[in-house]
Amino acid sequence: MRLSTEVRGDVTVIALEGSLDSRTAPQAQQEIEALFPEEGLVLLDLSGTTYMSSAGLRVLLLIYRRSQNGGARLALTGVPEEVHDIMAATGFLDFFTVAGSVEDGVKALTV
Amino acid sequence: MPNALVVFEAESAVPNVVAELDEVLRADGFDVAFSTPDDLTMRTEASPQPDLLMVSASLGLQRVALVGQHFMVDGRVPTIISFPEDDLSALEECVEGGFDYVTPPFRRTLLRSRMNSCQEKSELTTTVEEMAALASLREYERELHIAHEIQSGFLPENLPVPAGWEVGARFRPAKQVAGDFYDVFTIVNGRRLAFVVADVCDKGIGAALFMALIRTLLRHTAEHTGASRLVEDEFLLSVDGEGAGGSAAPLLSLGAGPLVQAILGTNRYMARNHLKQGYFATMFFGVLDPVSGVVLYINGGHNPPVVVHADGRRTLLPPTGPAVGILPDSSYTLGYVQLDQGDTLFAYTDGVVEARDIQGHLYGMPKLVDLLESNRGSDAETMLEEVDASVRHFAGHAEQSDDITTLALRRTPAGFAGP
Repeated sequence: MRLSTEVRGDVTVIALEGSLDSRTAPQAQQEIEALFPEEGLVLLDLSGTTYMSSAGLRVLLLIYRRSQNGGARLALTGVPEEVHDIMAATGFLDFFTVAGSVEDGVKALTV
Repeated sequence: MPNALVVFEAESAVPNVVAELDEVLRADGFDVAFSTPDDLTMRTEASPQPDLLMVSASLGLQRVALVGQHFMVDGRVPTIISFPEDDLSALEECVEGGFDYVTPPFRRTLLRSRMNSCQEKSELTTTVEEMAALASLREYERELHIAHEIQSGFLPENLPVPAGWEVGARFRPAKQVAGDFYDVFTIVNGRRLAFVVADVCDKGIGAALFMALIRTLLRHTAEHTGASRLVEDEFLLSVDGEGAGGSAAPLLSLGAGPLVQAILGTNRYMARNHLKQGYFATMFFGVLDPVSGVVLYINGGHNPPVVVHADGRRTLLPPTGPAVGILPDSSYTLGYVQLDQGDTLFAYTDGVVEARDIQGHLYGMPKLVDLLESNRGSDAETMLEEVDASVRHFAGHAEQSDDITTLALRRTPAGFAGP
C-alpha cells in the first residue's frame, strides 16, 4: 500500500496504490487523514488499487464522514471494476461521487 | 574476531592505562578500536554495537551512560565495563550507577572472567525479557480464547426447524474471533422463522465486538416487534420480488414488521451511536412463513443468496438496500421469494466466493452456482457439506483469509420424512 499526493489547482489528488485490506487499512487510514486538508477539494484516485476488502471500504467510509464533518468535498476516480461492483452492492455509490478520470474528477469538484 | 571499543578522553588520558588495556585485549584475541566520546556523539547515525565496550570512568557517570545510549539498538544498550584512569572516586560513581568495572593492573584472566560474568548477566536479562514477552503472549492468547468462547455464545446453540423444513448452517472463522455470523430464531409466537447471514466489515477483535452488537440489535428488535406493528417508516419501503406485480400482500404479512424494524432500527442505532468507528455490516435477513413457503427478506448490501428451485429454475436474491450502518437514513426494499417443496435457499458470506487457492485464484460465484445446481436434489445438510468440501478442496493449503459462513433452508419435498 502506497500513497502519493499532488495538488491540481484547488484539488488535492490522493492516489492509493496496492492492496487495501485489513492488514494495510489502519496505516492507509492514518496516512490519508494526515494528507487530508481541513477544507477544500479532495480527489481519491483508486486506479492503482489492486484489491479492496471490506476493511478498505471502512477506510473510505471513515474518510467520507470526515469530509462531511469538516469543510472538505470528496470524490473518487479510477475505481477498478471489482471495487465498483462491491461499492454498488453495498450502497457506497449512493453517497460517493465517482469520476471517470482525474481530469473529470477535478472538474466535477471545482464546478 | 570479536571487537572491542575503548572510549576515553584523549586529552586527559593516562597513556599507560589505555596502552595496557590495548595489549591485554589484543592478547585475548580482540580487534581493538579507540574513540573519544565527542567523536561518538558527533556521528549522527547509531554505530554498530561492539562486542565489548570499555569506557573510562573519568568521563563521569553521565557521559558513560551517554556513550551507552549511542549504541542503543531496539531499546537495549550493550554491556559497558568501566575502568579507572587515575581517579578511583570517578570509578566509584560509575559502579554505584550500576556499571561493571575492572581496575589495573589488567590481567587477561581477570578481564576475561569479568567479561564472562557480564555476558552471563546480559544473557540472563535477555532470557528474563524473553520469558516476560512469552508470558504476555500467552496472556494475550488466553484473552483471545476467552473472546472466542464468548463470541460462540452469540451464535445459536440449536436451530429451530419448522415441520416440513430443513435448516442448517456452517461457520468457519479465519481467526479466533470473527466478523461473520448467522442466526436462526422464531418470531411472532413461533409463526415465522427469522434467519440471518451477516458479515461485519474488517476482521479481528473490532469486527467481533460489532458482530455481538449487531446480532443482538437484530434479534432483540425482531423478537420484540409485535406482528401488528407495521412501521412509521413505510415510506422507506417498497416491495420487490417474484410476485411484485402490484401485490401488497407481503407487506401485510406477519413477519414484515419485525423484519423491517430490525433492519431499520439496527441501521439507525449504528449510524447514530457508532458513527466514529465506521463499522458496518452486509446482511441477508429473511423471514419464512413455514406454512405458505413465502420468504420475505431484506438484503443489505450482501452477497446474493441463491435459490435452487426443484423445477429447474434458479433465483438470485440481490441487495435490496445498502449495507447496515453506513447512513442513518438508508432506505430498504422488501423482497420476497416463494419456496416450494424441494426448493433450497442458500445464503453465504464472501468468504465462500472469495476463497483463494494457493495461486491466488478466486473460488468465484459461477463455481458456487454450478455446485448448488448439481445438488438440486440434496437435502440442506448435504448441500452445506458439499460447499464446505468444495471450498476446502479449492483452497488446498492456502491460508483461509476470511470467515466462511453458509446457511441452507430447504422445504422438504413431499414423500420425504423430515429430519
